[in-house]
Amino acid sequence: MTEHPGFWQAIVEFQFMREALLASIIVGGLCSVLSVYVVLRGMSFIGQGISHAAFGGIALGLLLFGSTTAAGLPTSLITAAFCLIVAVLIGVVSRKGKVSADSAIGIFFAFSMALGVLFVSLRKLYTADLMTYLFGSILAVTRADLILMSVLSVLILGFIAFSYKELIYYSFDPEMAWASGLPATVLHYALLTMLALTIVASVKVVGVVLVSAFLVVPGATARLLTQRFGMMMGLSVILGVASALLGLYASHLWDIPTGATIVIAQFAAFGVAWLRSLRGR
Amino acid sequence: MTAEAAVKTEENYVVRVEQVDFSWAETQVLADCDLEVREGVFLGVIGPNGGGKTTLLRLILGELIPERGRVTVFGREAQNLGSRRKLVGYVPQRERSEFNFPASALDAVVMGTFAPLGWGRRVGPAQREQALHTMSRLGLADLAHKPLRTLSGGQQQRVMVARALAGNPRLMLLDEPTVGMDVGAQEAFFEQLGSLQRELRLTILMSTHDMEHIRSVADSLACINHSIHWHGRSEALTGQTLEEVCELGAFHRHVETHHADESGPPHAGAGA
Repeated sequence: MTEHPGFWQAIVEFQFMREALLASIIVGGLCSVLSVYVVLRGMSFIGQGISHAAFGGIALGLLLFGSTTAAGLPTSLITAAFCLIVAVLIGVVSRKGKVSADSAIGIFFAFSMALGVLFVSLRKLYTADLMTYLFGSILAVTRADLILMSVLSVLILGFIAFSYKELIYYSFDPEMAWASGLPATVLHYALLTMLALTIVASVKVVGVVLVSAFLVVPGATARLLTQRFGMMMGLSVILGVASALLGLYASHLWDIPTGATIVIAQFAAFGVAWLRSLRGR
Repeated sequence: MTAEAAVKTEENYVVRVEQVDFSWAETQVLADCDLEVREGVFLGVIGPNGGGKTTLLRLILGELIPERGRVTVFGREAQNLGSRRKLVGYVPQRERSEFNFPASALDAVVMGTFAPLGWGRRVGPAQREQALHTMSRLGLADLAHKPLRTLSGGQQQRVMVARALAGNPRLMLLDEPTVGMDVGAQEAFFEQLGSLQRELRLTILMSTHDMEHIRSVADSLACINHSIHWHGRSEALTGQTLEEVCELGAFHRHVETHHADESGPPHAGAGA
């Protein structure tokens, strides 16, 4: 492949392409930071649960406020509320009760999706907007979405930077982190909250269905490549952002939804790393 | 005032277990346990598997809450230790630890310094120095930069001990730390731990099956089999006492013959 002036020209010429570029960098980077914790703590199913729970929030937002373009922010706020509630419920039920985390996730995300279906059917309109949220559309990202994404990213990455060592110990061994005197319960809910907010920030770009891949694949790939935590974080971010850019490029080139092309790019990197890890054995 | 006097008495004990009962689901593991451990004492906790050693340690850690009775550590209820939790170092049983984590042995030991350092504060050369020093005391200096998961089981266990020590605890709870170590490593480990304990005046509670070594290093021993059957100075514990009060068939050879001798009474009972 040589030059594809179409892509670069589009970036230079069109505001929406520059916004798409920025959105994919933010989402690719933010999700891949979180994916490190998701992979090390075995939270991939929780990620999937919360992202599907987002569907309930989106559907309620669309029902109450109508089209997404007119009401991006309120819909995002309702989605955030849904994701946070489900994240906390999963955390509380699996910690306190006699229900395993695995079951708690299965129960709450199915319930949230059922609510989503209910709200959609109440709306009684064909909803192209909903498709945007299910499978993602980077071109539908608005200025307001970008601001929301940026604010959430700053908050989340700020917390991670501040609690870097605490989160390392918690990801290593929550029980021992608690025994050593670290606030393990706070860290537990902080991770769930960050996961929920990351999903809210990303869901419009990559969709409910595919966001969970963003929260697993870069971290899992990086894990295969290194035995050091800091390196894993760095590699994950590089892989996440590079896949996002490659995906956006391919999406523009072949006119395919961006979420799908990014996930395919992530998967290709994972495949290479996995084959390499087999050889190293 | 009597209240003040009571507080003072408690301060003398690092660990105090009073009339504690604990059950897992329907099975009672500990009944009416009493145990007092003074500062600077190395206590070996021995007893058969399933006798409640781990449960006792986890109650003292504050991870489990007694059904009845009270567990106090540094004069506070174990489950509400607050900031004093940083004074407790804990090494769980090997199978309860996770070793498949992207970290070097040194990275893992440095984690022990995190809580005392405080939230949001960065790890610096001082913490790394402290971790390396602790590692060298346990004979782990050469392994510092090796990935944790490439170490042997015994080495991983010693890394966990070093991590607990790196936070400068006043009380160490060690749950069968020598499981997975070869005989030579066990001997070295007991020696290193003993000298660290004396030097730092640490209070240690360590459960183990290794009677021979624990006797030589611990000041006192407690035999646990659902309750504390015996608690006293290490040298005072005779094989006879062990057989009688603990029925430690799992690890005491003499007990087997003892059990054979005992096979009489049940027959008599059945006949009666």
